[in-house]
Amino acid sequence: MKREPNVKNNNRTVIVLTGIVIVMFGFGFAMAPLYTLFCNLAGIQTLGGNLTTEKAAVEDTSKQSRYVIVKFDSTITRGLPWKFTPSIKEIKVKTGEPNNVIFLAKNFADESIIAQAIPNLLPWDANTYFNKVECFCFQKQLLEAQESKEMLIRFVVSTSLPDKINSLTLSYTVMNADTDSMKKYSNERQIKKTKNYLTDIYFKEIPLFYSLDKETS
Amino acid sequence: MSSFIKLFFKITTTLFLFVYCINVFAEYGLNFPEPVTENARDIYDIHMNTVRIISALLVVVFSIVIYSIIFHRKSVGYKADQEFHKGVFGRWAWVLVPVLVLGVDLGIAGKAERVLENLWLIPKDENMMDVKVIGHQWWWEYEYIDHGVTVESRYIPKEPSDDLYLRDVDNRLVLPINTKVRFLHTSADVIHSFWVPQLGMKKDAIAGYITETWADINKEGIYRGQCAEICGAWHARMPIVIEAVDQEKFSDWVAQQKNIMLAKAEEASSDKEWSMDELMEKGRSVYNKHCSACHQLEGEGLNPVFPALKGSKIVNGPLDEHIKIVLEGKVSTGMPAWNNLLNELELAAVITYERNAWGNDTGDIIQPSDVKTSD
Amino acid sequence: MTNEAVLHSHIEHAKPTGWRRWVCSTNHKDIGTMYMIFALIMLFLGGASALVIRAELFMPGIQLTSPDLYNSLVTNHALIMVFGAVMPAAAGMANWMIPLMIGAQDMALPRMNNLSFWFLPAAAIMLVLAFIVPFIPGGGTMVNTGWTLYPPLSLQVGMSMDFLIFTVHLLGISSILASINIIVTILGNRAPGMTLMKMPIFVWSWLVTAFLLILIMPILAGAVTMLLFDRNFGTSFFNAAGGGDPVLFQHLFWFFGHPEVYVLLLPSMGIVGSIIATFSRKPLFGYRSTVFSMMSIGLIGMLVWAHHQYTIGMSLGAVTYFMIGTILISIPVGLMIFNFIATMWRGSMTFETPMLFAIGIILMFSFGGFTGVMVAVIPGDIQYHDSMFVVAHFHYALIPGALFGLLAGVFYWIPKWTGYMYDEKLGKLFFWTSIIGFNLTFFPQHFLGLAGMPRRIVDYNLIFTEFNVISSIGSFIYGLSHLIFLYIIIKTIRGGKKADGKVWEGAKGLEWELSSPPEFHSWSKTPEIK
Repeated sequence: MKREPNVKNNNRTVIVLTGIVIVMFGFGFAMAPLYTLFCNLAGIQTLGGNLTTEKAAVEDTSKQSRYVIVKFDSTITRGLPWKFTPSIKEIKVKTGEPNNVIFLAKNFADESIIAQAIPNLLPWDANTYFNKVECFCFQKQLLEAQESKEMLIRFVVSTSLPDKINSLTLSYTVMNADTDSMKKYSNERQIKKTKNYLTDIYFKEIPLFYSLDKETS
Repeated sequence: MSSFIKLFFKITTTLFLFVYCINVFAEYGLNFPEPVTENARDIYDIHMNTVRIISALLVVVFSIVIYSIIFHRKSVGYKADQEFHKGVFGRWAWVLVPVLVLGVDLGIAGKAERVLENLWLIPKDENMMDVKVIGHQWWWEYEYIDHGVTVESRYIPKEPSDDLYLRDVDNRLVLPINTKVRFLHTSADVIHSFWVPQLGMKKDAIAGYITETWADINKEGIYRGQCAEICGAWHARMPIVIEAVDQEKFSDWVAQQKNIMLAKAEEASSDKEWSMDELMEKGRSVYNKHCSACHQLEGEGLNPVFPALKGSKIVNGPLDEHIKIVLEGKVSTGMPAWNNLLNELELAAVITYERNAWGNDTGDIIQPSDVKTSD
Repeated sequence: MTNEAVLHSHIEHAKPTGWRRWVCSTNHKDIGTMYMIFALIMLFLGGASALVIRAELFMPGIQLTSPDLYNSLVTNHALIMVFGAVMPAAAGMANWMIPLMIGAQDMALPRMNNLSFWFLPAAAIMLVLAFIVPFIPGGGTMVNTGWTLYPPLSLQVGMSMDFLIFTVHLLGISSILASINIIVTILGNRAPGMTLMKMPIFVWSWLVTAFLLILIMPILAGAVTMLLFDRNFGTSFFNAAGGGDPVLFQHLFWFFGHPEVYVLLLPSMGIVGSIIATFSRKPLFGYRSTVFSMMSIGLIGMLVWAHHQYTIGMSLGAVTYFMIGTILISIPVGLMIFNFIATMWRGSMTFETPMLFAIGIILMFSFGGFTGVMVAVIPGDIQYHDSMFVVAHFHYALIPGALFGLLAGVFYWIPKWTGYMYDEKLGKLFFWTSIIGFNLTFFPQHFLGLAGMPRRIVDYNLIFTEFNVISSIGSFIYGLSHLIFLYIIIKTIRGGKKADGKVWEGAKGLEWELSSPPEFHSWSKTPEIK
């Protein structure tokens, strides 16, 4: 038996295997963006894609701008002692023009809490035509103890929105971004005290249909 | 040999009868419950179509195998045909069989595809009614977005011998008939799944996601379903009850719900002195709704996990400790902190009830203000 | 060939005795035996948990378990049966039979073979710990998620979940090592003249399975590792609040989970193919097309995972693709089953226990496959999904498709392994009790699902009672019938009628040219295949 070639072979094997390990490790990190990419191609709805700012909708200048209805909705998940509602249930918007809508948030806990709002747009095929120019969902939001805040979303519905779609629903799910805090408030499943629309003065003063003047900037 | 042929025919006729039975079963509760929406009916048709096709194929497969078992056996002296796989059939079966299977597949898929589109795409009507269904561990919350009404729907404890055991809730999901209703599904914690067989809809509720389904019920009635995705310990106790009523009744119901919400809010914020009887009455309903799942209706508990309240040291002991454990819960047990789940009145009532029911006779009357002070 | 010299020196070692023979074993037969004994123990463990589940479901109301314990049993039953019973049994048979069938002296990597087995008991201990830990005060909650381990529910579970994650890791490593070994053995150690297209169908089925395993096991390991990190190290792969996505886990899990079904299925189909050819006294019909259908089952199986998630909310295009893809799998599966039936056709059949099982498999697996087409069709699946119908469907696919195949394999090869014939009468008794019990258990569950009973519920309404009673009675017949099986095995190992080298009249292939049982080191003189 010759030893020499074996050692050479072994070295090569070690190098190749190390390379494979590094590539596999890298692949692990590439998983998340790859998944988003794959789902975008396959038409599978993901959450990750919704948090990004830029959407690659091509403005179809030949199309007339028209009116569509945008409905707003919000859900608070377990472990977040907040109230979070849209200031307006639905508005009629003109495609191609920017719109501002305010969401009202209040923290009922006696300490500051950070939360993340996760947007979802229905129907999904409208996602590429809905551009959030500015949104509280782009970063985590902090509310001090008992603090209330108005949160702004600024969006444009693209003119190239397919004709068959004339109503959109923008829904936010708000989650406690801190795991420990979430566990702490999880015991208080449905926060009855904070839930009661009518006893809470802050929300009582907001009319059911509260129209904001459209700002043009 | 002739006895074998007879046997063969007997078996094939039995199998054909079996297929026939599957069609008959539909009327005897062995199939889907009666569909009440257009979509559910379409699903039912697809189901029966597929069942018929596969039953026919099953008969063919069984007949061939059974024929072969009867005739091609060594004990009847059959000699194996060693050239069988080399014949024309043997050489072309790999083309023939896939083509046949593909034909059957396309027959099934083609029909399904047409229904699928109807099912998957929400109609673009402007005046659809929106209902948001939120799954919680372990109850459902229905938000009538257009009407500003929210309904919490919880399981009602019943005896296993009851007809509605695990199938009944305190507040039903009331829907108008002949109205297109869009359901938005989401969850406040883990994954749940909203399934009502008669409406032909099932959708997972995933926290962070919102998904939509739709239904247009065209028959009044009560339709029951259950949570279909495992969601922890009491997965079996998440019934769904839909009550389909006509438009007029539905408007009445909405008005009624709004009044209830107002009354509740007023009651909770008033400083009224409550009597023992009122508190016991209220306490019983709160207890049966929230506590009896674990501590049982008669307070006897469920050993060893859920302690008995009847004759319990805490319940019959100092008031402060009792209030504390109800308000703050007990860490790493199933006992939640009720402080934030119930309002003061409900808390006061349920503590009064526990201290005076099932032979516990402390005689204590707890007012909402008592609970507030120890908050 | 330098390998030959090494192997020769290896063969000249004296046969080890005592505990060293087993613990330090590098012999494919001994390791195969250990695999199968392990699988048998696990089969009884998983079966016992299934019987507790069925006993709980005998009547409405919670009698025997608590909801969490029930869910934990559901989880354990699935994991034990899939990873503890079926996969090790199939790997054990591969270990025993592949070297004999292809004329190799041993597996190509004997030490790795030993390692891949000894990961299993370690994994089993972890699994048992995951089950026991919650009973200790402070041990957290039980694993109440089902074997799918979907977050966010699995993020709520206590430390037993971490034990379970490590179990999955160990099992994964074990199967990957075994698969590498099998692939290397098949591709590198065939006797001269044994071309790929002359290999027995069982060897082919394992070659496809091994490739599948290597492709999918890392996905599962990766998914549960992400879960582990989410639970303990503050990452948020599956936590929507941190920018993660709970549905990603479902995709990863089923990207593993669906091909896993074929991993369980294919080796058994290989066994069924060889048994039918043997007892029909006729070569396998369409050998080539069977091989290619196995390959395409593996290939298409990798591409249709999301049919387990029709209800999560995917776009119309995506679900249509998954539906069509799934239905297309029926083509290769149908072709394979057709080939088996055509092998029986105009054969000269005798009906010993292995053949009875093989015929039972063909009939019942066809039924399971047909209901598979039903659940693949989305409008129908909206109703079937997560109901007892699905439970009935996959038990009809997996018990005949995987477990019965392995049992048939045991009866087929046990004379070869032990040198003694099993008791034919008892074998037939076992076949009939288990087949009746099996059908009685699972057939009524179709109706339960259609009537609206969800799966994995601990308690149910009166309307579901009748079929649950039938199903529970059936399950006890089926479960207890395995005691007959255990008795047959023990009896055969201890002695009986001596078996010839060529046990079955119609058997063909290299393994039957050796004595029964074969010598400790078989094929020390490499055979020639013409």
